[in-house]
Formats: sequence, C-alpha cells, structure tokens
Amino acid sequence: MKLRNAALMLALVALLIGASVMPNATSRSGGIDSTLESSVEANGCACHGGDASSSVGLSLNTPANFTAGETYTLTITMESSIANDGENQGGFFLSTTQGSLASGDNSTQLIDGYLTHTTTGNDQRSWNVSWTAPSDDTRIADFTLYGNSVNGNGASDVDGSDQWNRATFAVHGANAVVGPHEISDLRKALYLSLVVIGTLAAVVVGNRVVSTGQSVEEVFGDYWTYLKPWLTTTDHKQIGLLYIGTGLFFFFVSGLLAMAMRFQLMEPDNDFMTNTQFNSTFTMHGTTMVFLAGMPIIFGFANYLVPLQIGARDLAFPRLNALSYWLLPTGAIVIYAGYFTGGAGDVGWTGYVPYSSGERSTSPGTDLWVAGQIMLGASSTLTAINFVTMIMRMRAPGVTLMRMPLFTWSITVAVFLLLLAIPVFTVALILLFADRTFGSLYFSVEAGADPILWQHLFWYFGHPEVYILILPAFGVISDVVATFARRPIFGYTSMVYAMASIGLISYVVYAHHMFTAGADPLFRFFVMLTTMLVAVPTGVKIFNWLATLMGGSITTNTAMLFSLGAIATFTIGGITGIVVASIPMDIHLHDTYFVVAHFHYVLIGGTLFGFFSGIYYWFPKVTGRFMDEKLGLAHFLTSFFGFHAAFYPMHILGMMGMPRRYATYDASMAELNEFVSYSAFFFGAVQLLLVWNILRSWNGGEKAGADPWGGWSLEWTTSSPPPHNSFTEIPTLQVADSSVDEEHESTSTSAPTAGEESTS
Amino acid sequence: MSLVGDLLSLPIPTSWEAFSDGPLSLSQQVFYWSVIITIFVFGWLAYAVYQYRRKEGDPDPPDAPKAGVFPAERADHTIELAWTIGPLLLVCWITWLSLGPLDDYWDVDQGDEMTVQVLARQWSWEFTYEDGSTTYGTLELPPDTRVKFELESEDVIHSFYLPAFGIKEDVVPNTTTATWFDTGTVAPGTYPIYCAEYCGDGHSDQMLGEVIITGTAA
Repeated sequence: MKLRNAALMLALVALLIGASVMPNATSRSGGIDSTLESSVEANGCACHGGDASSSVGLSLNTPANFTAGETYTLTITMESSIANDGENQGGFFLSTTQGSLASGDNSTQLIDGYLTHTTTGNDQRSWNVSWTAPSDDTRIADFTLYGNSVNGNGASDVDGSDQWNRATFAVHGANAVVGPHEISDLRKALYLSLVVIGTLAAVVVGNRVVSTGQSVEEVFGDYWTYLKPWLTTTDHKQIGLLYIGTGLFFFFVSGLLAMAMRFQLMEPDNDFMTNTQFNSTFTMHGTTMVFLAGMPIIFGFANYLVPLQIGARDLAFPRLNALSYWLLPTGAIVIYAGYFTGGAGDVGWTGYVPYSSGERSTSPGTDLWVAGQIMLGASSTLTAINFVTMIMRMRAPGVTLMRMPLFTWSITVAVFLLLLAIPVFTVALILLFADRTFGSLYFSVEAGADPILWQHLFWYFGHPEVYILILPAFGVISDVVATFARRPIFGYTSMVYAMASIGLISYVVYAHHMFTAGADPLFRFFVMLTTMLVAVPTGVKIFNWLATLMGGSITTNTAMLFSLGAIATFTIGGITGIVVASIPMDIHLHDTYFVVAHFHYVLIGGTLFGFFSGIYYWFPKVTGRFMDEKLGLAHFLTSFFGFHAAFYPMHILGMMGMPRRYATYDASMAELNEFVSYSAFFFGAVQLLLVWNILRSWNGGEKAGADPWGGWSLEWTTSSPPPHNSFTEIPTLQVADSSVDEEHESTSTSAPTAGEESTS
Repeated sequence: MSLVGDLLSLPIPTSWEAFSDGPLSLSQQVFYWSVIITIFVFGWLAYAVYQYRRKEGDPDPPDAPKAGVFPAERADHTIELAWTIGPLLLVCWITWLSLGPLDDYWDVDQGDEMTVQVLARQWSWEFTYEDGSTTYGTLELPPDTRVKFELESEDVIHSFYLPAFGIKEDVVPNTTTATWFDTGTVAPGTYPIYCAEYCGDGHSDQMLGEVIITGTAA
C-alpha cells in the first residue's frame, strides 16, 4: 500500500512538473483573435493598465432592430472614475461583424475596417459615428467596443492611473431569427433520420404489443434480455463479433466517403463538393479505413480465434478487453462528431503539422479528430498488452511457440508492433492536442519548432501500422492455403522468421515516407536500402505459399479464391513498393496517385481480400453454417476484377503526375478518372453481396460440423459454434509423425521446435 | 488518347530519361524485373492451381492436416535459401543502380547558372529571380540553363512539384531546402507546377502554377 501511495505521489509530481514546463504562448492570451489584439495595442488600450477594468463604463446607443441598408448614427459614451477635463482624456475603437462603419466627424477615423479616435478625438469621452446596416435583415450584427480613459499626463501608465474596458453589443435585423443559429443540412438529415427511426421503432414495438398482448415493459424487457449480453459481455467470442461488426459498419461508411470522392473526381473542376468538404472527406476516409475498419476487423478475428487456436478459455484480462472494445465506438463517435461542429477533421490521416497545429484553415472537427484518435490509441495499447500476455502465458499443452498456427503468429508479431508503435502516436497526438487547445508550442513554427518532428513521430508509428494491417492477412492466407491445398504449409519455420523480420525491419524504414522532406542524404540512402530489404522476407512468404500448393489437392472455393487473389494482388502491390522505394523514381511518384494505387493494392488486395477469405473460412466455425458458395463466387469475381479496374489506372495517373488529395485534375486525365470512378462504384456496390450472403447464411446456411474444411489448428477441435467456455476440456496439441513426410526426411526441422519446448 | 490507349500506356516522365537510357539503366531494369517476377508468380500460381486441382474422388495427400495435430514440417532448406538470397541480391542491385541518378539529384550545386528563390504560402507561389524581379504563380525560365531553386515557406509545409521535370522537394517552414534542374532536357513550352504536400483549402487549385521555358536563350 505504501508503495502504491509513493507511486501515486510520484505520478502527481510528474504531472505537476509536466504542466509547469509545458511551453506557453504569450501571444495568444484569452479568446481575442490576434488581429483584434494587435489593434488594441495599437490604439493604446494595453499600455494603459494591464487588465480590463470594470470602473470604465462603456455604452453605445444602438437601435433595437435594424432595417436593411439603413444608416444609423451611433453614439459612444465612456464614463470613468478617472477625472480629466483637459487634453488626452481617452480613446476607443469599435468593430462590427455586419454592415460597414464610417467616421462621423474629424474626431474619428477608419483603419482596416475598425473605427478609432483621431488625435483631435483624443480630448473627449463621447464620439458620434455612423453605421450602415447590411442588406440582409435576417442577420445579427455584433459590435465590439474598446475604450480607455486616461489621466492626461501623456505617459503610458500601467499602475492603475489609466483604465480601459471592453464591451459587446448585439443588434438584430428586423427579420433576424432570435435564438439558435440556422440548422445545417447535415443536422437536418440527422434529426430527420432520428424521427424516422423513432417512428419505425414505435411501429415495431406497437405491433408486438398489439399482436402478442404483452405490455410495453415486457416488450422492452425482451429486447433488453437480448441486448444486455452484448453490452456487458467479457467473452472473447462475443467481443470478437462486436469488433468485426463495428469494423464492417465503418468499412461501409468509409466506402461511402470513397464513393463521394470518386463522384467529385468524375470530371475535372467538378463542384459536387467544396475543397473543404473534399479535404475532410479524404481525411475521414483514411482515418476510418485504418483505425475504425481495418484494425477492428483484424482484432475481431484475433479476439475470436487466437484463444481458440492456442487452447485458452479467454484473453488474459477479459474485462480489460471489454474496455478496449468500448473505447472504439466511443472514439469513433468523437471523431465523427466533427461533422456536427461545422466540418469533420480536414488535415489528412497523417495530420502533418504545422497545418494541423495551426488555427488557420482547419475546421473545428480537427480537435475532435485528435481527441477521438487518442481514445483509439488507448484502446489499441490495452489490446496489445492483453494479447501479448495471453500468447506468452496461456497456451494449452503441446502448443509451443513454434507450433502455433500462422494466424496466431501473425497476430503475435502485430501486437508487439502495436505495443511499441501506438504509444508514440498517442503521445504525438496529445502534444498536438495541447498545441491546438491550450496554446502550447511543441509544433509552432512561429516559436521556432521543427515541423519535421511530427513526421518522425507519426511515421515511426505509421509504418509499423501498415504492417500491423497486412501481417494478420498473411496469417489468414497461410492457414487457408494450407487447408485447401490439403498439405502442411511449406517452410513453417521460415514463415515465422519472415514475419518476425518484417516486424523488426518495419521500425527502420519509416523515413521512406519523407524522401522529399530534405533529410540527410546518408540517412535517405540507409532507409532506401532497409526498405528494399522488406522485399526479401515478403518474397519468402509468397514463394512458400506457392510451394505449399505443389503436390496438393486444391479445392478452389470462395475462401481459397480470395486467398489466391490476395497473393496475386499483393505481389503487384509489393513490386510497386520496390518502385517507390527507389529514391530517384520516388521523387517523381511521391504523393501522386501511384502511391495511392500502391497502398490500395496492399491494403485492399492484401488485407481486405485476406480477411474476406477469413470470413468465408471461419464463418462455419462461428455460426455452425456454411456461407452460400454461388453468392461467394460472384462476390469474388466481381470484387477481384472491379478492384483491378478501379485501382490499376491509378498507377498510370500517378506516372502522369496527378497529385493525391486533389479535388480536381488536369483535363487530359479526364477519361482515366471517369473510368476509375465507374469501376469504384461497381467495386463498392458488389460488396453488398457479402452483406447479403452473411445475413442469409447466418440462420439459413447449410449446416457445418466441427471441422468442415479439415484444418489442423485447435479451433477445429471444438464444436461449431464453440461452447460458452470455448472448450469443454482444454485440448492437447498432438504432433504428426514426421516419417509420413517422405519428401524431406533428411531435414532436421524438429530442432527449433524441440528447443522451444522448455519455454512453454 | 483513347481510354484503352491510356490504360495500356506507361507514361514515363521525361526527366527519367537520364536513367532510362539502355537496358541496364534503373527504370528499364525495374520495369523488366517487375514484369519477370509478376509473370513468374502468376504463372506458378496458375500452373499449381490447375495441375493439382482436386478431382472427384481424389484421396487426401498422406500428410493432409488433421484437427488437433501439428503437421510435420515441410521444408527444403536449399530452395528456401535460394529464394532468400536471390531477392536479396536483386534489391541490393536495384539500390546500387538508384545511387547513380540520386547523386545527380542531390548535387544541387550543379544548378550554377541561375538561382530562383521560391517562396510558398497559403496559397500562392512567389518566384524571385536574380535581378530582384518577382512573379506569382508563373515561373519563366530560359532554355538550356541549369537552375537552382531555393525553397522557403511562410506558413505550412508545401511541396514544389514539377511533374514534367520529375522534381519534387518539400518546402518546409524555418528551413531552406533546395533542388535543381537543367531546362535543356525538356522542350520549350508551358508545364504545370503542383503543390504535392497537402496544405489546406487552396491545395488543389490555388497552388496550381505554370513554368514557361522560353524559346530562345535569355
């Protein structure tokens, strides 16, 4: 207990020190915008006493309402406890948000739209000015008035002998709507959908009340008994399904954003979206796909399968796991709340400073974008701790490290990457949040900060992140290919080492995202070499998959087709990765559509196709039923060709020099862009086949047994769907007699396996 | 160009000509190796899937996976070593090839005949020439001249991108970055200038500029 108190004190002291050393801006005090503040100083307010004083009374005789276009004479009156009837009595300045101000006589003057006193007008405490109302009388004019009263000694006194104050006045137009501001279209849509959902809910509930004769309480009770297990579960299988459901939902949302972007890019200079809207659309598309669709789908599979594959009853910390999950939809709501504050985050998913740290040109949703991602960072960190502990400590007898299924191995490498990478990004986000919200100066260029620092922090996380997204797909493909080729995976040991070395190399390649940012040439050369080296273990994996097929008995059902399709597509994505790794070529291709094509080949062609394969492969385990093969085949063929039609032309656009994140393009690229757009709509639409197949097969599919495909790993030893505690009895993993494998009896492959035995 | 023509084209930027000359040059080799590897992988995949397809009534191979049993390792260390070392040599070779043109890109002092100061801001380009004159958005350069660009930013990060010349250099506040180009390698004419680093609302239209290579030497 004492130790705990001491730790608590230490943490408090650390927080206090942290708070006190945080760099603070003196140039951004309060809520006054900088241009206004400099005018205040220019007009002698700040030099007449440090703070505003209530002893100075300011009044402006505004009309009750204004009529459009009419000119009014306004009188400014200042009353002060500082007596002075002589020269230099005081001054003022006045600004308004509507209409235009003009000088009434030679005692006042107009500077940059602000009205202030002249040298002549310095000798009085009341001024007459004129104001012309705007032509739109539904508006509200806000006036801001500063006044200072001085004792006339001609010096700037800060000891209280001079005083100043600030006051605001609002004048409504004759037809102004008093109360809340006008409702945005998006908010109208939200309210409308709430009304529709509410009405539908009332109809559904009312129908049950009438047709079954239950009371309303009983009906809601029924719903609650259905919902409560999902809301309060700590079971890894239910949390896994929640993750996958959330991931697929955001995949759909983000897909719609992608369609909106392609609609804008149907023709050059399209006005479907404004630049700001386009910017927040690609930002939300990227952020959603990586953090709200990709990672949840992966960790949903990991939640469901890894405990089953290593023979554990649940994760190491089931309640922590529930917290990890619930931080995800909460963070997602925070990120998407940006749409209701006047525009979602628009800084790109990379959020480069100083654009993202500055107040200029970013929409208010950026604050929420930052805050929501901090929550997702916390969620991922907890998940990583949970998985590392489980995989290291909770394996069933016989499941040594070198006998884990390759999907579990891929998750092992991914969670180690996550554990080391995501806290860096979370810290960077907290610094960014402090800059944007508390006025600290970590990324402030004006204060001399290096804008490249953010890129280092971001890509130190960002590059391992893309391997976190792709490695689990490698795991899925390995399991699926071996099962449907009816042969053990070729080179299991080298597959494990390949994944581990991809994980290690991922930390020393990140600067290839910054080849044009002006880094040291030697550093860039080093990063080019390490980036190229990633191709070696990746190549080993591809060749091992192909070798696995040899001598097999290959069933090409939907699950297998998606895996083979992923291998083919990923190969192209890997090759273009080498092209952009070569600096001379990257200088031209960096930040063009070539890069967009490259990472969509990897992340859709690799990750998404891999996990589609996983959905078709493990669906019988989760539900006890097969998915429809005909629909599945249609889904594969349309997705595969739709994908290539949508993304292959982007390579060409990139070589032509079309930069990414552009809301328009040169007219010479119109035909290709139109083709890409139509293909993208097609690719997006056919994903509904998957939704339909899942819904249809969930209760209506053909029944499947415990091991419908003949896979070897432990999840196939339990029933489909697995019982509440996953296994009725913790299984022991057997080892096949290696003499069956007559091809390679000379190899001593059992050596590393035997070495691992003692650690389990 | 027609859509089909566009789809089949490989629009290599003119600036790559420096390392596209001859079958041993960087971009040529990268292209050939890409095609070779793609054909090899796709061919092997198609062959294996066709040759070893499951036919009605086929028995499982003797080492087929069984639930709850870790399969015996299938491996051949010689061939695994071969396809580790082969790609390793290949990527080292491509890295080596990349160094030549890179030396050229990095040696900005080669732009010794003319210097242009480029100032980027939200959202315009300002070009200051050696004689002190300034233009906005339009950059006028004489032909056959080695030009050095010194880049500075007033606010956020921009990126000075001339797709026709294949040069791109980030414009970073608080730092001066530099790049160079020989206008003799492209024909006189008008080429676009893009901002390639997302910089806000005006990124895709207000940062559009053009570079004019005049017909006769200045």
